[in-house]
Amino acid sequence: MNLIKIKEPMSSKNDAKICLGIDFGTTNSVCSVKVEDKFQFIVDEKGETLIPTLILYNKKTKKFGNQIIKDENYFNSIFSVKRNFTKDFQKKIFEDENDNKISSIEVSKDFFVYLKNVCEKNLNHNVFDCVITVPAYFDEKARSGIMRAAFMAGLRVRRLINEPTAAAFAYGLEKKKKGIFFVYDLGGGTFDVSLLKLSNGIFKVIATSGDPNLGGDDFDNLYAKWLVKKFFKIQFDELDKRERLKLVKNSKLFKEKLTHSASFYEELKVNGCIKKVEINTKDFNKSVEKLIDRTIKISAELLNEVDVEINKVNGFVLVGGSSRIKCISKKIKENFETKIFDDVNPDLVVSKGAALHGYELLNGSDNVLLDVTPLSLGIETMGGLMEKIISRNTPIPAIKEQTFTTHENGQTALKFLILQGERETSSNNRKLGEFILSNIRPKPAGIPRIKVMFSLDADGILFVTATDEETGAENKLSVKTNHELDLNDMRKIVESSIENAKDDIHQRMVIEAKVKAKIFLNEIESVKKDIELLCSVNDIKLIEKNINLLKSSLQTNDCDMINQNIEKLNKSTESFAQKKIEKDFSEVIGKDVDKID
Amino acid sequence: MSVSPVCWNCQSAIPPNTFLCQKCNKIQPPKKIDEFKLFGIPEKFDLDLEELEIAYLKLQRLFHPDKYSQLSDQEIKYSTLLSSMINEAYQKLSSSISRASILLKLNGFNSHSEDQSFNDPEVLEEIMDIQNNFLEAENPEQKKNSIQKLNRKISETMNSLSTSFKKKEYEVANRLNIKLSYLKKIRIDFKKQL
Repeated sequence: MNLIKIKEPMSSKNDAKICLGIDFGTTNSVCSVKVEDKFQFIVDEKGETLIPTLILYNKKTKKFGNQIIKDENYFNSIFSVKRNFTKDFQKKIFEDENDNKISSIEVSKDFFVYLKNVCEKNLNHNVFDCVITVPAYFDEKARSGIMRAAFMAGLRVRRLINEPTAAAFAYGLEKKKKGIFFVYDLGGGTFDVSLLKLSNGIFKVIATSGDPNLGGDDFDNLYAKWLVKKFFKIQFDELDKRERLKLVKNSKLFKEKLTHSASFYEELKVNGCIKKVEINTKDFNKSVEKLIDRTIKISAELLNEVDVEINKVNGFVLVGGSSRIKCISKKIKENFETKIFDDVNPDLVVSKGAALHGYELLNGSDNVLLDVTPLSLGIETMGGLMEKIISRNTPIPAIKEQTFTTHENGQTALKFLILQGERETSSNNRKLGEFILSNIRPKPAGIPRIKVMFSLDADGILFVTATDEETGAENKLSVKTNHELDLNDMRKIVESSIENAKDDIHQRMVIEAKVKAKIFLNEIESVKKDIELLCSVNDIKLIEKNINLLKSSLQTNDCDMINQNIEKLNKSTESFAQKKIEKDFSEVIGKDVDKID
Repeated sequence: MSVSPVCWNCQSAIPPNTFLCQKCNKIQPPKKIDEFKLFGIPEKFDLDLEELEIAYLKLQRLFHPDKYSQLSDQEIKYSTLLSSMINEAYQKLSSSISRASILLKLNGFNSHSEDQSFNDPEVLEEIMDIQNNFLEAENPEQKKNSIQKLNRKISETMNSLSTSFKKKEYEVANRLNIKLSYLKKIRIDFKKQL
């Protein structure tokens, strides 16, 4: 390819823009920022850089981070909310300060709002832009959940980057390193390994692996179990919740103390009984051995998979607070003949990498971060098997297409179940979403050609489109189970809310109103045909008028007007909704009961 | 090919094999281009992988979405498309099997596809031998030996493949490439069983 003029695409350098680097951790979060060539960590109102990821809703008040540490209600706070992102994070399992049921996303949103406020106080400046780090082994669903929470908090997420990649970026820039490095990142709730090649401003991830549910928390739990069994002859599971939490907190403290001294005596109180016990490294190591062995196994598998000889690797970079556990570096040395680099602060380096990358995104740079997808993406095919479309460790962004066909004569619709994971059967992989392509022209089985395109962007977020090659029926693609807004739509809403927002609260109200309006409009759009079928001409006209009214109010940042127009549209569709229920019901009647879902 | 494309922004002509407008420097939508031309590297089987990587990184430095995060939606979209295309082309050229397939196609030879039945008795027998050898191995040491044998076979096949490309014997090259892909698949299986 001929490159005649090579110019930096982003050469227009006006005033430097501020972009936060947010390491949203399972146990602790860290924010940092680079402003005008100066890098700094953000400190909270107590002067701390490490902000515990704790949220406490109590009697009409919300408290966060270090505000809670000495609070009498400490044990009622929400711990490790990030862990829920690998599960069903939409479930409303928490209660906020007004006793409303809320989900993990909403809890995380509140925490992001808190972090944003802390940063704004530090910088004396409004901030909207950020780069957020996520565990490398997080799947697409977890990533998009984190992104949604940040969007709802009024943050414009410029990029999601993988935690080990961020660490390698900061490490490589700071120490001016070149070569192949293995990042071993053991955080509070997640374990990641990444193999990277660093050279002259290029940070290229070769491969990544990990366990999204293995971290310091698990060490604390396991050690707590051992402690109570050994010294009190009680099974951990027999304790009540509060006692368990107290014990785990102690076990965590002992673990941290053991990184400085090999043994000491401590008083331990369980179920009102106090005992003086000896805490030592030997016992601790033994109790958590199987977790460490698991990290070693994952590391070995990654090296084996990529066919990189260990002698080509410059060394292991230890990242994440839990990598401080003494026997980890010993175990690594035993298993791999390699050097260990522990000359960075394992708690802070991830946030720093995010902030440096954020600065470069907004102000331009010659450095490039090239990452990969940690897990394969595909769709379910006949027999409940997963057909891979993008395989793991493919560099991102990635766009892949595959053609599918019908398996029954005259079939007019196809259902696509989108999956992520490495297992062969689809039920063992994570379900990301379901799409239905309708309006396929009826043809004999195997004749239609349905092109499915997977587009995985640089944030690791997936966009899927399916097109009937003959009719070009791409727009007919309908999302079935997913009531969420497309992340690109959400990004636009956040962007539009930033301008003219009076203050933070107003900005978030605008975002909420717009998201609500958009979801509503999407719903209406999906039943457009039924409206035309079931409503009178006058009703249709009124609904259309109200749709347009709502759409035009979306152009403004007037949340009262948006909410009023949502209400208007809601009123005008009420009678339709009733008719639709009746119609759906009458369609169901007479069918086999088994077939009703 | 139709008329040569013009820049979406300033309407000046975009020369073939380029993705930046020479006048206004705006990123252009991707167009079909073969992998070797994309990276501007010689069209051959014995590729200098380091040269490929340098070319790859140079392109990503220009077109990766990180470089466009502040620009218009259209430019972000083009950079995502181009960057994905560059990633895919890089992966294809990095692997000797897909590289051979690309070369065969460029030389007008319809390369092997997975569904095409393969019935070269000589090669099939060779593969059976290797598999049996591995299955019969009684201890890890013997298994490792068996893999080493397989590795030698792979590099022999690679050499012959390279020679056949040099001699422009595409029929032979196609057969060798199919054999190579079988051997590499077996190696993955063996490694899993270790």
